[in-house]
Amino acid sequence: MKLLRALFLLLPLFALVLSTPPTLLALEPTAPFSQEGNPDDDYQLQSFFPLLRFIKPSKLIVFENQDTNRSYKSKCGETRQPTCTQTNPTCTLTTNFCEGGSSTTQGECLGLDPQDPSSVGTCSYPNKNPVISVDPKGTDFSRDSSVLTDTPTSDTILTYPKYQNESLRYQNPGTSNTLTWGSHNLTLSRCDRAARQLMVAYQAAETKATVQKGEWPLGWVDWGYTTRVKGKTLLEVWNTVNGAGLGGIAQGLVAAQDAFFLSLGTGQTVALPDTGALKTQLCNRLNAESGSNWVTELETLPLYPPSFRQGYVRTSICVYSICLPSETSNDGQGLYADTSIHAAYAAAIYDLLQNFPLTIALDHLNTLAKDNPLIRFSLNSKVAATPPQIAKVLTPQSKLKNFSLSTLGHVYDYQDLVTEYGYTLQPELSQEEGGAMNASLVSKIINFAFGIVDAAAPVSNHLLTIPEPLGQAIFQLQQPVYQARDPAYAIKDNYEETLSNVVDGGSTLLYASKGLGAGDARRRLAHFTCQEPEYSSPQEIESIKAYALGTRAGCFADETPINGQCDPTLFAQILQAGGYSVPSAPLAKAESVYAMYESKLTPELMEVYGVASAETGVPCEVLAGIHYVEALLDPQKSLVSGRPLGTAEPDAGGQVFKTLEETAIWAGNHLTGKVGGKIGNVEQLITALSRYNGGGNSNCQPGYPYPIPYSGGCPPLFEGEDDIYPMSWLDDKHSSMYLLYCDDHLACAPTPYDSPGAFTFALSVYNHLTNSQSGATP
Amino acid sequence: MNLSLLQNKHILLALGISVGFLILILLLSPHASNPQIVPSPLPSPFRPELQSPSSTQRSTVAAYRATITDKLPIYQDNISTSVKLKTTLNLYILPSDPAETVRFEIYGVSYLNRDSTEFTNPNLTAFKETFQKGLALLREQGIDPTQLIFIYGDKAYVRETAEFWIKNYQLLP
Repeated sequence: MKLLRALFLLLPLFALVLSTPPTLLALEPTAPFSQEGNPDDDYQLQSFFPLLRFIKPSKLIVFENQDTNRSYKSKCGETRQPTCTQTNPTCTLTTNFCEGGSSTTQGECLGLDPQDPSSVGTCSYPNKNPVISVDPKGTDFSRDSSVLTDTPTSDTILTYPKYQNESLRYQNPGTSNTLTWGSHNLTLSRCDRAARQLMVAYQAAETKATVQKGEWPLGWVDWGYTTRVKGKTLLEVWNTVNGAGLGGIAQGLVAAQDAFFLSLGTGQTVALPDTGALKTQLCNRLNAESGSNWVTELETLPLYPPSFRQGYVRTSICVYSICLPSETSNDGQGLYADTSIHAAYAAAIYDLLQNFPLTIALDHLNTLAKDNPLIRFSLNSKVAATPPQIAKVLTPQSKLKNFSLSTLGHVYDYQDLVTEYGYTLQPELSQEEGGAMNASLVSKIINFAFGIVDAAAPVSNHLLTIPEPLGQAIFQLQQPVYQARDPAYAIKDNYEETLSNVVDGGSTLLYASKGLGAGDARRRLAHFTCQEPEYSSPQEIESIKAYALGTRAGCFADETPINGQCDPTLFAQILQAGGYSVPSAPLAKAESVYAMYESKLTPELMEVYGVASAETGVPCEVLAGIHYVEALLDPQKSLVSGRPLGTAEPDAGGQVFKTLEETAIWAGNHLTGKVGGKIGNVEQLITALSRYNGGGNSNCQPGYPYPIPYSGGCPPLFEGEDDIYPMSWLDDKHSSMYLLYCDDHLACAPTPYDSPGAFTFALSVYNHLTNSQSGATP
Repeated sequence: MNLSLLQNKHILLALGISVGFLILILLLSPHASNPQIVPSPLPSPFRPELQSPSSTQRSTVAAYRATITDKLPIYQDNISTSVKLKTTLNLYILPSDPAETVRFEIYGVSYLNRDSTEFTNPNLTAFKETFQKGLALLREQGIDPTQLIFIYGDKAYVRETAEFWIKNYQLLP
């Protein structure tokens, strides 16, 4: 296999490359989107796509999926008309398929002299990659109730749009029956909805003003988007509300949003803007002038900005696990419409902030923005967010310095396909020559190498999808929230009986979040398991389809192998030994945090924990828990105290650790040392974790100068049972725990501790690890 | 090169295999030529506990510790104290510790509370009583605590508070 990989990797050395800018065909914006309010294909391709070079290469998302939606027929021969004349200018290429049947392709007649009726021209044919016979579609396959229609029917209004489309789930306006509303329409107050709608209108107008200065902003809003009711465009609605004197409020709200996003990932202190006064002002006007034209029109607008965006897709050919994009071709690549990404992106950010403790949500956004600084400009429609201005602020990532879409085609395909489809391996050769290389030693060697592969290797056709800049981040934004729902193992036992949409304190399976209403809980509770296609498709083979259907979120991250060398046996033994009644899963809010950080548990990180576990006998899940509490799983920070690797560790006597593994081994050894050398059961593990941190924030603490509102019971069942370090958010008893000291020796009034403890996090890791290994999908 | 030669499958096979080997050698050679990386030893731990003693003193302490290692660990939990706090005593050595030190760790008290008034801070009382019990246990094992350098914990705040209390109340003989 290594030889195979090596040969493939070396193939580019044997051939020259083409860098012809691709000519792509895409769908025109269709209603309710407008043509004038969205950049054309060339601008999307030539101005927005190069912005991808600012994303860290390791974070640049490219989906490569087996293409099962299209048929790739084997060709058993083809006939080309080589020349053409004035009397017969038609150039026809006939392809006969091995399975039977044929197809024809019309070429272009070149070189005819109009003055000379007897001149003979040459037929030119397009490159012959496998033809994508089905045009890439937008994500809105479901019927869209936001589309303007005179007579809404059951065909145009979906009862539960979330099952069809993420965009509609976020903002479907529905009918007078609130059950038809998108979930954000249900959970937001009228005032909050109006604030969002006002921002959409303002940004539509702002976009137009920016475009009139020559460039499109990354967060452009389609100002010609037509609203469902009254059929007015965003710009027309803006004119109405601006005329009503709401311009100042809108400007303030958008400016606050822009400032917040621009601060992400820059090292500045990030805080949510305080727009309370502006919203109150808007709310007062809304209530006082309900029924006026501006209110009526404003309330027809979508909650999140609409725009017609385009991603990029091209054919790819795979042998075993090696997938290589095929040559540039008009037929083998195209732009695909993504009509919901803008709204979904904005809503996902709202969801993230709504569903997680603020510090964790901001930390997540900050981390994403460091990897993908385009996030800072993603919802901005000012001049500052236009490609030339962005390029002035950001630094291209070195490895993507020469990034362009055309360079992705600089790889070479499988020999039998080269023969079959006549790829041009040498640019100087014309397509009329069949694209084969002149015989040479090099070509023979290449053919020979391919011939070896050809004997046994199956070939499959794939599609390579490169999401546009907003699509690059949507997965990381949505996934933590999607995963915050109850996992399969938590709901497997009679979950239907305990499922409830009533917030009565007795419903154990309500959606884990703060501030989501009963209606939303009902909508997003786990009616479906991850195995069911209604909720999540098997992403490894259908992610393009899933993407198109808006079902790409769900259980996707669970397929990321996080087992590495981490063996869950040790943790299982400790759990079985008892010592404390451990729940099958931590509290839902702890699971939400786990979901947020799960993507950081890379195979490399798990391998470090696994190696240290083998060395020290401490379960790898526990080491992950310590690393989470100490360093939020940052691989550059130690398990000793969360300090950056390479710096002196006061907690380790000033020792300097060069690698994460060294700190993990140190942690394991010291953890076991705290309980006499061996951790035998849960009680000992919890005690060891508490001692590892010094036990300073144990919530049953005599001598502490303030009353501690901890209700988990004092004295503790055993040492450490009342300590936030291991126990926070493990179960109901430890649902509310408190940080007692602001700094070493500095007692402060008890502050709620908003994060899972090390044991709690370890339990999440264990559950997900064992669940994924057993084949079930959490 | 004669093209007809290249059409001979045997020659092609030979050529192909040769080139394959060359490629492999090219690929592998940079790795093979790299000297094997031996992890450099970690820098010596710089423990504050070891700053005061001279090198001679440290050598003496290390030599003494070597004679008592088989008498450790001493681990005693559930120790009752007069302030109703249960404590645990853990006297042990970790392989990564400096050769001169012994860990003298007391659990079950809050070290974040450095209040040195026993009247208001029961943690101090519990610590004192447990510490004295630890010294007694050492002596019972024939270990002279005056000849050892103790580490009282990992976290800086634990060490600082323990050392503060020990010094303040002259707990060490």
